[in-house]
Order: sequence, then structure tokens, then C-alpha cells
Amino acid sequence: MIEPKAKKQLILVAIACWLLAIPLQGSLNRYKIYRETSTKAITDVSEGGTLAMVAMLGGFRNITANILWLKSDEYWHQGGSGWWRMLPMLRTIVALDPHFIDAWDVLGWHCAWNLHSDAPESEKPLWIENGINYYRQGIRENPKRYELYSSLAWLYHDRLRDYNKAIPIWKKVCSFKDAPVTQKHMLAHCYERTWQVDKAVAVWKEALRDKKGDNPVAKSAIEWWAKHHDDRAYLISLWQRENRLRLGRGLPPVASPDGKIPAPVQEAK
Amino acid sequence: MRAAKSIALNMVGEALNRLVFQILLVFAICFMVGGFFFTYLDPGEEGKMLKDLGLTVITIFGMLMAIFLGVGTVAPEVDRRTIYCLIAKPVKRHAFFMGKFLGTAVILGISCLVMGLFLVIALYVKEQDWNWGLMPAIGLTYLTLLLVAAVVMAVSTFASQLLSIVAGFVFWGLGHSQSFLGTLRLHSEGASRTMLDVVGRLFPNLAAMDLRQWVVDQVYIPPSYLMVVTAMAAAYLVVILVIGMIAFNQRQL
Repeated sequence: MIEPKAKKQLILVAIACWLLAIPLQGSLNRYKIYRETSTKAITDVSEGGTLAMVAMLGGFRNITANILWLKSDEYWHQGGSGWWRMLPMLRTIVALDPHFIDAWDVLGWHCAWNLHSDAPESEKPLWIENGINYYRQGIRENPKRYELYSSLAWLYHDRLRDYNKAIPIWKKVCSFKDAPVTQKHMLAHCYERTWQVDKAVAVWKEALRDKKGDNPVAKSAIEWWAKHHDDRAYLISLWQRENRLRLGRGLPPVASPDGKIPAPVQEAK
Repeated sequence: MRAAKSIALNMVGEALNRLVFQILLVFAICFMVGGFFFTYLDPGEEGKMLKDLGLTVITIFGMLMAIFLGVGTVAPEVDRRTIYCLIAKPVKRHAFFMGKFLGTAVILGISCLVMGLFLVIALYVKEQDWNWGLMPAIGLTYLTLLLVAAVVMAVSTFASQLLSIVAGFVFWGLGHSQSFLGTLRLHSEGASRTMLDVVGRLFPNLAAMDLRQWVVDQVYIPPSYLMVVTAMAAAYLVVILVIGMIAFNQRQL
């Protein structure tokens, strides 16, 4: 039996520990990693149905996110209506696991490329915007990862052919230490297509230095621009090629980057 | 203290020989091995899935062990009347209770360590990379299991085994729902808000101790966060153990 005095002491110890535990628990809110996952509203995951809600409450967020990821892969291969079913699934995955980079990447890409192509004409711009928004949301959740910046830059670079918007994002990607050197190649290409040849060459030289001289792509680009630095005819041919690519993507042609040559007039169909 | 240590060692020896414990451990390892057959995914995705699966298996099977061990410590000894021999030694009741808890803690520790090491070695075979970064998550999972085991043991001192098992699962569920209950509390008034306040203070936030997602996604975890969460868990553990000791002390045998 516990003596009455010892029992009182034990009760006091328990109360002291409980009073210590409460503010410790409250202090967790000052940690960003705790706030990120704890404040996700249940409605964020409700699209995934009962499974996702039980997962969130039962502490099995990540494994459920993985199961839904496998399911979304199945929908992808189904095509057709499966592509549309992927959307709520991917949104639930990123709600359950906001640091699942691949899920954010696929979500943004899926909206801007696949759903855009499948959507009616009037909705197409909306799907590009959705793709951009999802990438930006993914970047807010994962600001220290370069992958989503790279995907967003690629969206502007390749999907929209908007190099002026892509350039600052590629620059941000290149500032990450773990970003591969090929990201600098993309930045250099953007500068080339906006006729900022000096900046392009500077980036190619940086890419060559990063690989300690073992970068045949950068080397050949530097050699090319050394010969064609003032070759306006070549720059114009780049611009004309760009407009052909834009027409192929259903984008309107643009004026030359220096503004001296207007955009070619599109023939009415 | 010596009595508690002897009871703990005896319990560890008994549990290691028990078929239930061995089967659970083998099942856990088999589940982890099964995950290595996901070969149709990209390498990056596969690694993430294996880590998620491994850590979740440790959590689920650890929880089952914690509940089975918690239920199988005090109540069966009372039912079989074998406790009278110990109490007559004399072994104090609180020493008996603490001895059983220490034994449970050692067994859970061994299980988590074995499963954790197996996961790290298996991931090394797959990825040629030592994933020691998973250890903080396994460590906090172990603390969570200790809390669950302590709750089950405390309840088993005065309630039936079934109720003790239910209490363990309810504790787990409420512990992981704290953030959701916090959100609910903000939109509540009056008695329901008070009740949610009480639940929020009574139960530890087990979701805050769940680092699985963060270690797999390689999110930086500040060391101070680990210290705060460990201190919080230790404080709640003391509270639960004191309640268990006092409840067992009051019980008519």
C-alpha cells in the first residue's frame, strides 16, 4: 500500500507534470512544421472521402496519401474520365501530405497540359491558371525545394512560351545548391530567345564552371555565340521559329524581342 | 525499486517467449518485406512508399503490442490470483505496477529497435543509402506507444480487459484528433467549447509526436521541437502512471 504522505506527494507530482504539459503542448504552435499539418481543415481532405478523413484523424496520413497516389496512377492509365477523377484524388493527396513533391508536380502538370487539352475551348485558359496556382501553392508549402519552381518555370517556358515570366523563376531555381546544372541551360535558352545574348553567354559560362569544364553543351553554346554574337539574321530566324512553335500550341505570334519587327498577322481560318 | 526491476526482467523474459509477441514481430517484418515488391513505381516514389509503409507498420504493430501487453500485465495476474504471492513477499503494489510498466517499456523498445533496424537495413539494400534520419520518428513512435501502454495498464487496474483495449484505441484516436478538435473548438460555444477545452488539455497531442511524414519528406525538424515534444510526452506519462499506481493501490484484491 502507498503511505498517505507518499500518495499526496505522488498526486502533487502528477498535477505539476500536467500543468507543465499543457503549456508545452500549446508552445508547439510556434513551430511552422506543426502548424502546416495541424491546421489543415478536414474539408481539404473531404474530397478523398471517408478513407482520407479517417486517415487524417487516425494518424495514417502518409500511407493513405500513398494509396491514393497508386489509385490516381490507375486513373491516369485509364484515360478519358479517369483523367478527371485524378483531380480530386491529387488534391486530397497534397492535403494529406503537403510535402509530397511529385503529387504537386503531377497536379500542376495535369491541369495545365492534360485537362487543358481535354477541356472545352472556353475553359482552356482556366486550366492553365489552375496549373499555375497549384504549382504556386506547392511552392508555398515547400519553399526549400527547387523541383516545383522548375516545373512552374517550364510551364511558362514551354507551355506558354512566356520567357519573360520564366526567366525570374529559372533564376530562382539556379539559386538552389542541389539544382542540377541543366536548369542553368534552360535559363540560358530563355535569355537567347529574348535576344539577351550577353546574359545567355554568362549563364553558359557559369554552367561550364559548375561542371569544372566538363559540359559539352555549354562549351558548344559558348563557341556558337562567340561566332554569332552579332548575327541578327540568326536571331530573327530564332524568333520566326518561335512563332511557328507558338502557332502549333494555339498561341498568338509575338513581335520580335527588341520590338522592331511586329508580330506577323495571322490569316483568318 | 529492486522488486520493480526483478518484475520487469521477469516480464521481459516471459514476453519474449510468448507466441503472440513473436507472431506480431514476424508479421511486421513480412509486411515491410512485401512493400519491396512495388517495383513498377519510379525509384523516387518507391523509396518514399517503402519508408511510409515501414514506419506505418512499426506504428500499427507497435500499437497492437502496446495494447496487448498493457492488457496482459496487471489484470491476468489479478484474475489468476498469482498477484497474492507477490504482494505477500512483500512487494508493494506501486512497485509491482511500475515493474510491469518497465517490462512493457523494454519489450516495446526492443520491438521498435528490431523493426527500425530492419527497415534501415532493408532500405540500404534497396537504395544503397543509410536512412538514419528515420530514427527520430521511430523514437517518438516509441514514446507514443509507451503512453498508450500506460493508459491501457492504468485502466486495466480497475476495469475489464475489453474496456482497457477500447480505452487504448480511444486514447490513440483522440490524441491524433487534437488539431481537428482545436479547429472545432474555435467554432463552438458554451458547454461544447468547455468540453473540447477539457479534452484538449487532458489528452496529449499524439499527432505532434508523429514525425513519419516529415522524416520521409526530409523536412527539417528543429531539435528544440524534439525536446518540447519529448518533455510533453514524459510529463503526460508521469501523470498516467501516477493515476495507474493510485488506482491499483485503491483496488480491493
